[in-house]
Amino acid sequence: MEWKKKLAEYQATPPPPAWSEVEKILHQDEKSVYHHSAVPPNESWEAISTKLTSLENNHPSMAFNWLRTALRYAAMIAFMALATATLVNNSFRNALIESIQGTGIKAALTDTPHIIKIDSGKNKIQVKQLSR
Amino acid sequence: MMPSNHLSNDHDLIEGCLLGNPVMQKKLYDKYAPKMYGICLRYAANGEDAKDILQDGFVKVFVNLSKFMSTGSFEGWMRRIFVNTAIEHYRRKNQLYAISENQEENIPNHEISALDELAAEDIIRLISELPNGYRTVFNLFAVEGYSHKEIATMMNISEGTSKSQYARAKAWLQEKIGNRNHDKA
Repeated sequence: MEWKKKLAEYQATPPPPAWSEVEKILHQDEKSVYHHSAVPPNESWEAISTKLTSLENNHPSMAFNWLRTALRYAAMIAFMALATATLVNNSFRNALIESIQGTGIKAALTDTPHIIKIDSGKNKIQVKQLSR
Repeated sequence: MMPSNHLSNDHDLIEGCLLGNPVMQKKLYDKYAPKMYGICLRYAANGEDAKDILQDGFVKVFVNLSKFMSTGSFEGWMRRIFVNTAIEHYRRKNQLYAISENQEENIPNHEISALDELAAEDIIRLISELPNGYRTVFNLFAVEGYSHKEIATMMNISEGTSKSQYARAKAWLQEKIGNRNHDKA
């Protein structure tokens, strides 16, 4: 009669499902936990819509964005022009010549008499006239 | 036939939303809000938190819509945004408590073979009753299918913490399912 007692106990307290069965419910068919859906609260869309409107109002306009881009490019061009003018002026060129003092530079300068005159006058660079 | 219609419909909705059309925004919300709210409910501790996650998630979706690559699944993209929003929400409110490897070994594992008529709703209700830290990790690992390594990165925790939180959640659920059967009997 022991087995009858055990059977009665088993029937009285059926064991819970195996974990593999729970996993099936978690993410298999369309009715699974993964695909579960629920009706959202009614007021949610209004709150989202209000937030979006407020974000749009705080966001800069299209025209402002264009202006900002144009100003950025203008500033970049002005900076490059200024940098070029600063670097490629006489003092820079003279400093370069002094630092190099190569025959190549001197030879190049002999081909441009105007520059020779100015540069050699200011910086006392000895330039030989090369015979052609 | 259905998938292509479904895709083109999404495409039209996205195009409309990108142009800032409020009607299209509402349509997109109506289409995906129930599924996304289902995700929010799974991750949130209560209805109010779920509502907050839903609102924040949809605002993120609309603001970042231009970043969506049309090659992938739009629903999948939205789902990731909502999961990340839920994690951010969780981070703001809670801290995870790691348990040691020894504690993990002591967690009972009730593998019992008989079946009961468990439905998704029952499991969801039980998941929502899970303690906060367990619930997030359980959702990410068991439902969304992320690895512990990915969860560790997403939640800024160690891989071991993710594993231990999942083990705790699983044991907790097994115990609850067991109790539920006892109550029924």
